Order: sequence, then structure tokens, then C-alpha cells
Amino acid sequence: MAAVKQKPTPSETHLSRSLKHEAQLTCCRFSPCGKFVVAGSYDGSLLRWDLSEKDAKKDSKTVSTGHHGWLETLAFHPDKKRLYTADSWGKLCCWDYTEAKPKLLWSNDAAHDGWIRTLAVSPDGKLLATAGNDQIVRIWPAGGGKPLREMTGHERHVYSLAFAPDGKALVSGDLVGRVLHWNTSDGKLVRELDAKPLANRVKIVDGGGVRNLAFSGDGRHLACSGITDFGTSVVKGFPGVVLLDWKSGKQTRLLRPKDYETEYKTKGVFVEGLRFHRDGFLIGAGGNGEREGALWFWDPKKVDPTFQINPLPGSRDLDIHPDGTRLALVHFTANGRGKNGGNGRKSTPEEYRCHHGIVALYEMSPKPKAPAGG
Amino acid sequence: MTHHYQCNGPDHTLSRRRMLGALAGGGVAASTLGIDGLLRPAVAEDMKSKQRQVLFIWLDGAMSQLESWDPKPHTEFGGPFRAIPTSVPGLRISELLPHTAKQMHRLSLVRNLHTVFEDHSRAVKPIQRGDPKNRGVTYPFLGSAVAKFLGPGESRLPPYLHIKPGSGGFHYQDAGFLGARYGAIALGDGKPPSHMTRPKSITDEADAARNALRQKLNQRFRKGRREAEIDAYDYSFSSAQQLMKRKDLFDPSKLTAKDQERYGTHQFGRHLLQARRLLEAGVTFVKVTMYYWDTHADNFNLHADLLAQFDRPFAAIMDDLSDAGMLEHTTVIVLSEFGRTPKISQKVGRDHFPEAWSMCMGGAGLAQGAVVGKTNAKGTWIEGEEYDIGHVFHTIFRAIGIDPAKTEYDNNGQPLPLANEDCGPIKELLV
Repeated sequence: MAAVKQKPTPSETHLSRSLKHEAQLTCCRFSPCGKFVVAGSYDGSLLRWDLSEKDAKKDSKTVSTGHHGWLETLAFHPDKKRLYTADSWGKLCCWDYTEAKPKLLWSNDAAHDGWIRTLAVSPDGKLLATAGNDQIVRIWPAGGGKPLREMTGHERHVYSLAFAPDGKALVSGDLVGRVLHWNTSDGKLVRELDAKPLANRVKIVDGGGVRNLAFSGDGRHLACSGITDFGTSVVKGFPGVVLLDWKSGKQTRLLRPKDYETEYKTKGVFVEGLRFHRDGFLIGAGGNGEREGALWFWDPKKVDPTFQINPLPGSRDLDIHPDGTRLALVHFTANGRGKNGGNGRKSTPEEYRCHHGIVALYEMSPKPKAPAGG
Repeated sequence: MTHHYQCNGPDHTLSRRRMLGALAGGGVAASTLGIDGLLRPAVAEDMKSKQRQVLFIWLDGAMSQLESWDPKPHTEFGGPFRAIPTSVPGLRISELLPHTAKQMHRLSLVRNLHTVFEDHSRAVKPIQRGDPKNRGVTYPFLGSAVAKFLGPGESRLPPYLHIKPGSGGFHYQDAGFLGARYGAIALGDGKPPSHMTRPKSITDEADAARNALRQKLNQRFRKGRREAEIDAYDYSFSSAQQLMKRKDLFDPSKLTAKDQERYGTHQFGRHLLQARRLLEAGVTFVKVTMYYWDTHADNFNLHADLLAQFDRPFAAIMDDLSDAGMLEHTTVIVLSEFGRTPKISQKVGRDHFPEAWSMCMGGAGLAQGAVVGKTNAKGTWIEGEEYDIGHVFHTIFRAIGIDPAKTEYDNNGQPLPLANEDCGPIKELLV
């Protein structure tokens, strides 16, 4: 399916389709060709849905196994053939996602020691970067093999990575709000950027961190998302996006949800998904539970969102379709005993099941009118 | 989310001035042990003859059993982490405890705890009291009970010291019906009570004179009052006196750089190193509290952080107690008020779960490398026999040389069992 450029209208954003999985989900991406949406799961599986299948009742989902723990992160190669996935046990895989069922091309069982939190593919498709709880950032040839470069400098878990649009720079963000700028060609540290509002220490515990990094298409802005202002309690801060001017490295503004101080005081909502739209606006998604999530649309020049949709189910990730008008969000939905935030104790083993995962597809366009007489 | 579940009543700063003033009473003659951390190897043999001691680590808020003692990797509720081998063949624990994994031959796990309390406010105290049957009295915390039965020993130091974050004070409430004298002296941030040093302007003669005056006033105060109350005042005073004589135990200059590196300079590391010094000095029961385990949201990131803080110093103190021969008379207990749900909430958290959880214990009187009980493949329910906290208390008492079947409390003539009589010891753990 060729990506056709259309003008999105965020104010008209509406849910168009929900794709369900039995286990909770971690991440989602649209394929560059636009035909597929894929997701990673707490059960370690790679899920792929064919969006060209118009019959919503027909489940086009394929399930690929081979990972362990959580399939935490994934990224497509621009060649419209390869998909990279990584898990919480340190395994990195490369798939041909265009086959009837994704076909494993190669894998590395020990790409990292433990939880790989993030991976990114360079704009020219030559490099793959990975990072995680072992605090190391690695650059690999996109075709696999040994790492080309191994960068140390983070002293805490690394949560996020992004290549600059020109491919010359790689940035990595960690638990304590440090964003390190690496030279892609030699792996040298260029500078350290400050996203400290996203670092939250409550007495002895560090929480929050730079959960996501996103460059604007023109390379002028680097957005870093997470949660701020834990205060005296763990995970009760405000969702926030630290916007940095890439050239100077300085913080330009801290983007917030509307009425964040009253709406999000006790909800512990992170901005988990973060993407710049090609039209220049920034989209964030986050939340907890079934009704504490939101989608925020920011103009980088303003602190308050130009538009926001809430309440939505809490989101763990976000992606923008290549056509520019569709969004994919990962939600959790309650399952079995123990609904929203509850724990399901005292339920039977049959009732005591994990929450479900949903890839929710939204369209940033007017909702189609129901057929006349229908 | 709640983070601190302190005992009832205000935390009083335990000052020497307050002790000497408000708690006026007669001092108890005492000797000091004169053992310092730097001398540990030399005193190892001597320590073997000492009385039983207890290191009690309280992980307040409830540590997840799935991220620690009972991992279920790559299962429905297993979470992101791996399980790793330990020094006990066939035993695996969470990858978040790599240093502790090397100590498991000195420790044992109970993986079939099933308790009844579902929230912090109802669980913290009953769990530390062993959840006895309701007889209309307030049972003592474990530390107070041990202080009652084992006393201060040769060290004459206060038998129940509690190292905790934040402020210190005298936690008399811990003692329940035993009376305030068996309460905990809480050392805020592991530091000694403030004003521990006598001002230089007060000479020995002046100090002796004012102590004599206090004793005289105390005798007058005693008339017409319950003996137990006066005993508590006397005890508090003598405790302060003993701690005053052992200021060296809190002197940071006596810590080696190597020990500080091994334990870490973070709060729990410092507190556990201080606990080691107190145990070496002969303190009977040392409790160390670590907060912030109540991870209803972001459980996995927070446990990764918290367990990293726990793991190294815990392994270090196990090594040190073992090297000094102290594990032969020191029982080590790691406990929370309950476990955490297998089900991962929509906040990526785990909630409270008393139904099937784990604890770790080892050292004197206990088996090494044992694993008691098991949960099912998903960690949701116990398979086979279940143990309540009453079983744990029976086991601990037996481990420190007290048989609850033969010993009971005397609460002003009311006989009371030491531990819930519906339970018994976990025999697999006793040696």
C-alpha cells in the first residue's frame, strides 16, 4: 500500500479499529510501506496485523515467537523488508516482515546483558543502535554481526535512542535525565544534554527518566518525554516533554498537558509515546488504567497542547502511519478479576488472567458519516 | 501510594538531654565490649561464644517475590527479568540479585507464605508480631520479644536497635504488653542519638552529682507508681548511658574505605554496614528498615533500582558475618508485610499479595540452601503446604534457642503463648 500524503486534522481524531492480543503490549510501529502494524508483547511474541484486510472481523494477526521475557522494542528498516526486535533478556532479532508470516533472518541472543529498552535504525539504513539496562549503547551494522561501536558513559539504565535526521548524531536518554549526544561515525561522546526535569528521585529511589526521544523532521528540535515532579511520592508526577533546541542544546520549553496540575496530580502518567508529525507538530500519548490516558498534540512553540483527547485508555506507545493521518496506540484493557489497577486476588485460577493488550488505530480525520437509512 | 508505615505515635528524637532529663532514673552498672569493626577477624573466635543475635531486615512496602526469591521467567506474569543460578545447585533467583545469588548456600527460602493481611496499615504490625490469636493484648514486635528473652548479653548495649531512614526515637510501642523497656531505640539514618557527647563544660564530678540528684528524684517519683513504668525509665536511661560509652560504634573514621566500597555509600548500604558494627559489638537484635517497596506503578523499573541497592550490601554483610564466624550465632531474616501480585496492573505495577509470597532467612539455627514450599508455574497460588507468619515466628524462636512449646509470656499473671499456637515451626528449616 503506497503511502499517500494527506492533511491530518488532529481535532477530528477518532478510534477506527482495535486489534486485540491476549497479553499486554509494550510497543507498536507501522511498517514503512503502510500495510502492516506490528507490536511487541509481555509474552515475548511479535504480532503483525495486515491493515489491507478490510474485514475487521477477520483476524489477520500473525504471532511470531523466539523472544523471551518482554518483546520490548522494535523498529523498521527503511528498505521496507526488514524489522528489528529486541527483548528484555538481551536478544536482538531481524525479521523479513513481508513474508506470509515474519521470517527470522538472524538473531543475537546476547546483544546486551539483560533488558534491551530501545533500538533505532539510522535514516540511511546502514546502522542499527541498541541500548538498555546494561547502560551500554551499541551501534551495529544493519546486516547483523559484531557491534561496530560500543559507547559507555551512561551510569544508569538507558531507556531511549534516536538518530538525528542527518544520521550524523545518535542520542541516548537514561533514567536520571541525561541525554548523551554521540558521533555516529566514531562513537565519540560529543556533548551531554540536560533533560533533568524528567529525572525524579524520591529519597532513595530514582524513577521516571527519558522514556522517549524524538527529533523533528527538520532536525531543529529534540523532544524528550517522561514524567516530572514526583514530589514526595513515587510515580505521582506530571506528564511532560522537555523540548531542546538541537543546535544549542538548551531547553526551550517544557510541554505539558492542559490543566496538568489538577488533572494529573495523582495519576502518575508518563508521556510514553512520542512522535513528531511531518507537518511539524508533536504527538504524545500516555496514561494509566482504562480512563487516565490521553493523546496530546503540541505545537513546539507553545507549552500547552493545541489539542488533546482524554480520557483514553492509558497508552504505552504511539506511532504515526506513513500516510500521516493515522495513529497506532498501545493500550491495556482489563481482563478477568482485578479491573482497572486492581489485582484480582481471591479470583479463581480461570479468572486470574493477565490484562489484554490492544493496538488502537485512530484516524486524524473526520469520522465517516453513517450510511443514510442505515 | 503510601511509603512509610511507622509505628503509632510520634517519632521522638532520642536526645541524651531528653533521656537524662525526662526519663530520670537509676543507671545500671554495665561493661562495654570494646570491639570495633576494624578488629573483626581478631575477635571472630571470641564472638562464637556470644549469645544469639538477630539481623532483621524489613523491606517496608512489600518486595515482589517474582522479582526476587521466586521468579517465574517467561510466564504469563513473570515480568521482564531472567532467573539466574545461585550457589545452591538447581536454585535460581531473580537476575536483580546477582550478589545475593552467591550467598544462597548460607540462606534459605520460604516460598509458600500465605498470610491474611491485604494492606499496609493492617499488615505491618501483625506480621512483625507474628499474628498471634487475639487475646485482647498487644503482642510485641519480634525485636522486642527477642530483647525480652535474650536481653543485652555481655555487651550491656540496648538489645533492640532499629536503623531506619529519617528520624530516630524511642519506639516503645514495639514492645506491646511487655512494657516500654523492651521497645526499640531507633537510630535515625543509622546515626547515634543526638547530644550523645557530654558537653565539655560538665566535669565528671558535676555529672556524678547530677546523676545522684536524678536518682534521688527518681526514687521519690517511683512512690505510688507502677514499677513497670519506672523500670522503663531506668532502662531507657541505662541504654543511653551504654550508647554514650560506645560512641566509637558510630565513628565514621573507623570505617575502612574497602568496607564502604563493598557496602556502598547509599542509604541502605550505610545502614547495613552500621548494623554489622552493632552486631559485632554484641547488640542482640538489629533491625534495618528500607522503604519504598510499594510499587503499584512502574514495578519493574523501581524494583531494578531498589534491589540493586539491597543486593550488594546484603551479600557483603553475609560474607562478613560468615567470615567472622558470626553466622553461627546470628540469625538473619529478610521480610516484608506481604508479597506482590503476579498480575501486572495497567500501571505496570504489582499490587498487594498475601496469598503466595516468599521470604529469606538464614544463619544460626537454620538450614542452609534450603527451599521450603513452592508456588505453581505462574506464581499465582501455593502448591502443597502453606505457611503463615505464625510458622515463621515459631521457626525464628526455635532458631534462637527459645522453644515456644515450652516457654510462654507472663503478662501480669496472664500466660500467653510466644507464637500463634495453631502454627508450628517449619521443620525443614531447623537444624
